[in-house]
Amino acid sequence: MEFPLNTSIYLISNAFSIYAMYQFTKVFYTKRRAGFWWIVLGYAIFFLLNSGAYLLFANPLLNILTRLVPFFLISLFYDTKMSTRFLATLTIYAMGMLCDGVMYTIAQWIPFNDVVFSSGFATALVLFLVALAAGKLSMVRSNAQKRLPLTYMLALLFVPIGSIIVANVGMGEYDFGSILMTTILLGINVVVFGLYDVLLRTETLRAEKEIYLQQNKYYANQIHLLEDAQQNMQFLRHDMKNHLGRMSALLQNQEYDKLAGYLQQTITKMRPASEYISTGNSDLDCLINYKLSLAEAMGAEITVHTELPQELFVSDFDMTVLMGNLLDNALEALRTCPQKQLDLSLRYQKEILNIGIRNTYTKENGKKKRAAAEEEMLHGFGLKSVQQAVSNYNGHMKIDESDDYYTVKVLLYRK
Amino acid sequence: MLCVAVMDDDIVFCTQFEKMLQRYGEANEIKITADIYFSGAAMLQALKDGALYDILFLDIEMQQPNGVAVGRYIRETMQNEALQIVYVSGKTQYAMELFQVRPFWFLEKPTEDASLSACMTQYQDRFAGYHTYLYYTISKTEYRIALQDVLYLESKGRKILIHTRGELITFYGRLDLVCSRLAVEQMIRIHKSFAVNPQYVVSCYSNSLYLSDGTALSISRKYRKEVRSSLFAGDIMI
Repeated sequence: MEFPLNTSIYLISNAFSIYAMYQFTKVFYTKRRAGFWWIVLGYAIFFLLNSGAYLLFANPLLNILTRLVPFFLISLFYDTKMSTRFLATLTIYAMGMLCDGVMYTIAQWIPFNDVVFSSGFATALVLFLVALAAGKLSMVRSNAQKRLPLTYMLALLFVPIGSIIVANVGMGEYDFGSILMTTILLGINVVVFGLYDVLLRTETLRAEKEIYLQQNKYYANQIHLLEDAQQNMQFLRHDMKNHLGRMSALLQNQEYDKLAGYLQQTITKMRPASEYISTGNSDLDCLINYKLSLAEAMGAEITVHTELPQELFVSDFDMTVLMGNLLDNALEALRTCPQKQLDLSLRYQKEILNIGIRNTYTKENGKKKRAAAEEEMLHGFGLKSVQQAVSNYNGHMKIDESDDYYTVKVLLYRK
Repeated sequence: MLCVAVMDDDIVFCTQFEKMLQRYGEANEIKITADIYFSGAAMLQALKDGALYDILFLDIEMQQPNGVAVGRYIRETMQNEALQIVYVSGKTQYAMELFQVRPFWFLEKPTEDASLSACMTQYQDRFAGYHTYLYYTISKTEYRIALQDVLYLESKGRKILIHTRGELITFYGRLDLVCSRLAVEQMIRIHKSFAVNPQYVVSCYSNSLYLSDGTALSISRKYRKEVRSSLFAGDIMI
């Protein structure tokens, strides 16, 4: 019997095309308002309504309605502007129509077999491809870390295109074999693209590893600072009696100026020269002291202001990425600037972390952008990484490029 | 004129600090009166007796009740957000409880003239205009209320409700007009129906904020950018 087999292939293809629409929504909506399973339920109902309407009623208007309305309702599960919801629903629907149209046109030239074409198998695959491409494009724009070579992407394209060709050759009739083939081919596509996501994750892990290696450098520096401080303290403790004796003598002789100078010297010895901050957040202290010591070595004039609790709501990792990149950027700019000045402030107020970093720089448009892009390729990091870390805390970044200073301000919210 | 109180059990420090305040006052032509307290208990008693100050310099490392306890009394019991607190400490490592008192500044010991100067200048810049008023009319009579006492404004229909620490005042008006007459640093619009006094905001999140009396208000999408800009405003070294 043709009917149920035909239907089965239609159902599987429709499920896959709805999955493709879901992939597409990732370009438009990111924040979920409801639990994951609610959304799954939403899509399940969408699938049932849409397939049911198509199979039972064969009414074009009903088909359109059952495609648009449930899909729009699902968008209510995400936190976005109303206008984005309309835009997304209509765009994705239009893309579906477009794929249909394209496949129809291609079918004029290339003889697709009936099964592949009228069941919507080919259309679903093409829509899936377009959805993934759109997804990758929007990710590439927002996150420099997640970037795989173009060759990987092209190789991946081979799978869906190959699937359509194989289906065309293999699926001659509406029989059990065709159902099997449809399921397997579509399954392979889902698996392959899933693997791609895993690959991306591996790349991210590799990037993280680099950050940890960097952190080790900061710790090494901090240990040096601590050793220095220890040595200074020992020196003071041993000679404390002598120092006090000398100070007392100066006091008795009313040599107040000399005494003031001597006291100042002692106070300075108590603090190692390169320790700029000591907030109690060891990772942060390490990183900032290290970076600022590099700036100091360059001869920069440095001012720091911190008002931070010992326990920050920002993870050590995110702080490292954030401050590491911001300071690297600043150091890079200072290198090529004759008058070096670096101001850093980190404040915690009203449960908001407020970071400001200001540095002098030479304002040469073309050169600066090229240098930043090169840096990005070298480490895969840069301001884009900062943006990612910032968005983890619903935060915002503002950059001011005035004639003398380059100022970056970052706000991080607790939730 | 500025009324200042210094609380520290170290007599030497208090004397030095008082002299620094005088130097600042002379250099900037401001009259500063400083009251010294050697214990938390004395400070608390003075506050209970109704002593009024603009800024308090409180030591953290001293016997209980210390600066943190006094700060908590001011914010939680007295419900006062207008009184500015500066914590003075020999350490740079601060516990979270200090931030819950919403201090205005932190000073390190030993304190230098430059650091005190930066702190006082900041205070002047931010709070100099703070004795402004919100004017409103009820039945053809004009009234005014110090902005310092206003927590937030709410618009309901054609009326505006002024939420203060004590009472609730209602008058006919439009929120747009009222806010336009006030500086954005004094009253920030966060919603079609709400505008808040930043001084009374104890915690601010991306979509919502909490005021000192526990009220939670949501920041509508339309005003999020504005709220953010106000948080971004100002020199970073301040």
